[in-house]
Amino acid sequence: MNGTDRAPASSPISARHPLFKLVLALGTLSAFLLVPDRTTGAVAAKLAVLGALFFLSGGIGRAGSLLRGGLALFGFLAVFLICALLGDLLSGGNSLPFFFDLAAKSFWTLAVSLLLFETIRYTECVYLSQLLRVPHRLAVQVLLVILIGRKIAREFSRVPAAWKSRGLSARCLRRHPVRTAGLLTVVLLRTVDQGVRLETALLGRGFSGRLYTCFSARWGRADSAALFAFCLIVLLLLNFSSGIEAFLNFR
Amino acid sequence: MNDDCQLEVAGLGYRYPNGHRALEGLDFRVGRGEKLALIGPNGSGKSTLLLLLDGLLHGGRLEGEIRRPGGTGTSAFLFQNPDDQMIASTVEDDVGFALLRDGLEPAAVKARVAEALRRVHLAGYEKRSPLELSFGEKKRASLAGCLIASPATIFLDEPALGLDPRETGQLREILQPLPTTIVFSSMDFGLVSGLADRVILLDRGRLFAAGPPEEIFSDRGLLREHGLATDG
Repeated sequence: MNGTDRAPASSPISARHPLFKLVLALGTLSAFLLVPDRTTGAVAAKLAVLGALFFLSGGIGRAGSLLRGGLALFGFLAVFLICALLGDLLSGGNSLPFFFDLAAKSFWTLAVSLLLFETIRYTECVYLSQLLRVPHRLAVQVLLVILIGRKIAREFSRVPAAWKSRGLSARCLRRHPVRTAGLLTVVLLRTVDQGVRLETALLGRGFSGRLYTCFSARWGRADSAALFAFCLIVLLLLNFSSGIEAFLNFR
Repeated sequence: MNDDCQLEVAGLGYRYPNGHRALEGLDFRVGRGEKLALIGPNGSGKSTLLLLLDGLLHGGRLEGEIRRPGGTGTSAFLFQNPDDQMIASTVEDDVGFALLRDGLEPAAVKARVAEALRRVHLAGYEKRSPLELSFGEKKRASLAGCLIASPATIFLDEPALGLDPRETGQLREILQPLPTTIVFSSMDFGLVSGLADRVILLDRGRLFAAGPPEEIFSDRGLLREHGLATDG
C-alpha cells in the first residue's frame, strides 16, 4: 500500500471508500495475473484498463512517479535478461519464454500497484486494518514497516541536496566509487538512526502494540456504483479483447 | 518522602553504551505541579536526563534511582526535533494518538483534537500531513499531542527551539496556567524566567546550581563559567 501519500487525494479513485480501492486493486491484479498474455487482444484489453485507471487515479500529475517506478523495473529486468541470456549460452537451454512471462507479470503487478495501491493513504491503511479485523500483531508489523519506509525514503531524498551542497557532483561520485560507497554507508547508518528515533518516539507516545486513526468512511451508493461500473468495464474490455482476436484471426 | 513530591532523583548517573558518561551524581526533587527548567551548555546532559526521567533511555549503565513518590501517573514527552515525535500521517491522528490509545471514540477524539489544535493556534490543520508543516507548526502540533491527554508530568526538550518570539510567548501562555508538573530544558532564558519556578544548571553531566530563575540569572559569573553568558 501507499508509503508516501503521493497520489492526489482528489482523483475519482482516491476519493472513494478505502475498501473499494482495496477490492479494485486486488481484483485488477488478480484479473491481470490470471488472464494469460498469449493473445494480442488480452494485452490490448489490459493496456486499455491501465490507461483508464491512469486517468481515473490522477492522470498526468502522477506520470513522473510512475515513470520512475517503471525505470526501476526496466533496470531490474535488463539485468535479469542478461543473466538469462548468459545462462542460455553456457547451458544451451532456452529460458527466454520464462523471462518474457516474468517480465509481463512484473509489469502488470508494478503498474497496478503504482496506480491503485498508491491511492490508499496511510490513514486508510490503518482504518482498513481495523475494518477488516486484521490481527493487531500482523497489522502493526506492516504499518510500522510503512512508517519506517517513509522515514528512510525521506532520509534518502535529502541526500542529493546534501551532496550537492558539498560540491559532490554525479561525475565526481562516479569517479571515486570507494568514497561514494563510504558516503552511502553514512546514509545507511542515518536510516538506522531514524529507526531508533521512531522506536523512541513510539515509546514516548505510549505505544502499546497498536496504531490508531480518527479516519472513518461510509460505504456509499457512489462506491457501489463505481464498483459495478468497474466490473462492467472489465467484462466489456475482455469481450472487446476477444473481438480484436477474432478480427485478427479473420484477417 | 514528601507527599507533594512528584519525582525524586538520588545519585543519578548514566553512561551510554559507547562508554561516554553523560550524567553523574545528580540529586534533586521535583514538586507536584512545579515547573522545573534545566539549563546548561550543549552536551551538558539535559536531553539525556529528560529521557531518563521519562524512562525512554535503554541500554547503557544507570546508577542511582529515580523515584516517583506520587505514583507513576501518565507522562508525555516533547522531543527536541518534532520529526522524531510525529508518528502518524495526519495531524489529527498524531495529536489524538494518546486518546485513541486510551479507547476514546474517534468522534470524541476529533472534537478534543480540534480544541487542542485551537489552543496551539493550529485550528483547521487536522487533515494536514506533518510533512507539510513548518518546523514551528510541527513543534506546536507535537505540543498539542502532549497536552491532549492531560498527563501528570510533561517533559519538554527545548520546547522553544525553532519558534519565533511570538510563538515562544504563546507557548509560555499555554504552559503557565497548567497544574501539571513540567520539567523542561531550554536555552531560551526569556522562557525559563517567565515559566520556571526553579532552575537547575547542568554542565558536563553534573549539577552546579539550583534555585529560582532570578537567583541563577543574576549570577553572571556562574553563567559565564558554564558558557551561558559572554563577557560583554
